[in-house]
Amino acid sequence: MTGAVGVIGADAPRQIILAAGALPLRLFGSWSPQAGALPAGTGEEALELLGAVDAPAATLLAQLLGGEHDHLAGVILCNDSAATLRLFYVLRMLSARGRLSIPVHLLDAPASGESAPGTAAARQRFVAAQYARLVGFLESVTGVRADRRRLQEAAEQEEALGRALQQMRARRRQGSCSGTAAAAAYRAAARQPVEQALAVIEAAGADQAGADGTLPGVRTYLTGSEDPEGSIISLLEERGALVIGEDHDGGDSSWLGEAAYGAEVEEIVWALAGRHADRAPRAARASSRSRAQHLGRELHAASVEQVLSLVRLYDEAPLWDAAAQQEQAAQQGVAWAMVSGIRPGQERTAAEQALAEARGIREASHV
Amino acid sequence: MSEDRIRAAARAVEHQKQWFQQLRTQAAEGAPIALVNADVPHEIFRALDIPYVVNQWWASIIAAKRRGAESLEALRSRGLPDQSLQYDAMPLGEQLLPEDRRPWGGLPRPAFAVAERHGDVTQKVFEQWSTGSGAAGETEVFLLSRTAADPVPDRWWELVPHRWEEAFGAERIDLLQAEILELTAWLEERTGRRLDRQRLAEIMRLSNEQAEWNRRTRDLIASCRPCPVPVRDVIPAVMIPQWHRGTRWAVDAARSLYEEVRERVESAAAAPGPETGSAEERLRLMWIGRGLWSDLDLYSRFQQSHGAVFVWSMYLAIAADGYIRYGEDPLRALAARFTGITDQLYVPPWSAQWYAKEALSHGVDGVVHLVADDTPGAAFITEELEGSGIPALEIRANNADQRSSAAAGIPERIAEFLRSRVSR
Repeated sequence: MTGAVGVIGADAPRQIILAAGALPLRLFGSWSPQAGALPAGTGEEALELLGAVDAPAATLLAQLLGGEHDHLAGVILCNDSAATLRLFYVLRMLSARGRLSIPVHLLDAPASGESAPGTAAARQRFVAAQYARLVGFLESVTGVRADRRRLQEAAEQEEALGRALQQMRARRRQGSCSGTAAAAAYRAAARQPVEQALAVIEAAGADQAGADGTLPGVRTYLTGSEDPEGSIISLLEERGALVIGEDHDGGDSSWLGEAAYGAEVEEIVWALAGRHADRAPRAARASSRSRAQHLGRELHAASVEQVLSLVRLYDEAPLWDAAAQQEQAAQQGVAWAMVSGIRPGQERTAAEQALAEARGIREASHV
Repeated sequence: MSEDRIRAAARAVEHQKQWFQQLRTQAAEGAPIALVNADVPHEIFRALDIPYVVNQWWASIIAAKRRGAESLEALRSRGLPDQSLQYDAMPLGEQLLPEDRRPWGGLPRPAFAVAERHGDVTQKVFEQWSTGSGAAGETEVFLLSRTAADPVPDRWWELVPHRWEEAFGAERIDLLQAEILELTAWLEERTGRRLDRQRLAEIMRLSNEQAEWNRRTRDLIASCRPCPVPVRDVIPAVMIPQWHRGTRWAVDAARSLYEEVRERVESAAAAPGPETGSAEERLRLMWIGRGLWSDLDLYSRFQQSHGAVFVWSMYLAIAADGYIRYGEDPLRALAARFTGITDQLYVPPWSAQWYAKEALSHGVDGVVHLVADDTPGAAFITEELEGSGIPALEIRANNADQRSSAAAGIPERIAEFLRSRVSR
């Protein structure tokens, strides 16, 4: 490894980054910046530059302005949400002015066109071209050529990660792995060298289960805004929930452990672009219909008792999914509670409010 | 500036009213109509003879008729958000209003709804047209990709007429071109019609001719002191023909606007006096952002009190610079027209460079910038303007949602801005 490359968003194929000799280090931001954790003035400047934007993007910009990520060889930003794209536009401007010491690169990988299947090939060509550009960017910042041999080695590493995560997801659905442990495992997978991450993932849930092999708690599925630090999942579990799944792109819907093989670099890149089209539906890029169907499958697979949706201010996609998701949950007899418009600093109160609402619905249904 | 409403605006509004009633009749007789967002290639619908209504235009009518708030509240009653991308969502809510509350009799249920995947929400708003849980139902939806603005070579307005491959990058255009072909096949399958490429080429030729007239009008207004026409009239006189882009009527309307502006300039030059407004135009203002449809009087409100005249809105300027695309292959030129049309307005550095160019060419003394939640880079626009010596006021509000614009206190903030930063 020649160093780490920051990744903002969930579209970057890790296999390519690993093959280019870099550690992919996902940067998540947070629900709200910790007071005093950012250099003076950077938080205000970030808000001024970004305008009305989902809070994690503002946190990330403040961190970048404060030099917190200057050790990285570069930062890749994915056009997987309006907030991340807006962040890229701002960083590109700041970079042109010499305000950033690290290079930034946009990865623009449109999601599958659910209404236009006939354009899948054109979209795959576009995404493959974006990956080829990404290879060029990475080689320029690491000095390592992502050749076929290195791509194959990276694929093997990534697939090992994928197998471990698959097993962990199964433990989580069974109730023997907490959401808190799963969130830590996903975070390790997205930020640590594969060998280290594997140790964290394999340990997740290994020593938590009771005599019947499951953990106590109301079986809960989390949707809505990403939980960038896993802090809300931890809070929910401290308050009696067991978060057995979520649809977040840093968690169960992350793009981790996917890899492709081929005789040529171009063939591998093309295959990865095809895999991108088959990913789990994410709030900012998928239809509400597919999001509700995904929720239905998850509820069916994991015997869920309640669905909670916590939505930050300016993260608007989950709001449009809510009606269809709520209807889906009702069809399957699962309680649903949503709290929206959550401002930085209000997330813990919002989580407790959602828990109370869901509890009321569950209790009413038992009368 | 003359207080008389310009003829081109009155004619355009009258034409639009008649056209809309004709469209309602067509729909009642079973003709499939389409609802399209502003940034999708309308030219395909024109070439296939599918009548279409532009979502944002219809939202502007709903807002102007003061039906915006209740349309949004209707969405909320269905469990949908009422504070999210209101400009796109309002027509969905209008479908739910009681018949006697619907503007102009209401928009008939469209057979097709087509949008690009702008931001995180547009695709979801349009998806609602096809779902039983939404407002409309039974409408088929087609969504186009929206790629990001990368690269962004300087001075886009000089590149886009002919060097659009350079402006937007071939890969972005390739993708949209493929998707337009797919959209065409999708529409052909549903209507039994076939796209005539010769007809599309003619539509592109007419739309470029229309843009050239808009350019002449924009340049003429930029060079005139005082401003010969009020912004609130220029907006309908430009935008209604814009939504009829590719027709002879639209070209003639754009030419008529130019001729009327020139006539006013020549009259003023021949007989200068107080009635032409020279004494009234002490300050020239620019309005950046979408139109404030529920309060169009705002654009003339500060003339009496401050001698401040809005001389610029994006509608004429983008009609002048933003749409024009020449090329041998009409389909590719059409893809190039829409690959980055919104980027031109909203993505820095393109947006900032263009607004500064327009501000300087129009000799404005101050800029009022209505910043919507879904538009990035406002701070860079302000910085560019201020760096050029032009004071700028940012107001964060939604243009179509009267609840939001009222809460922002727009008139009061403009008055204070004029007093404290713009007064000569």
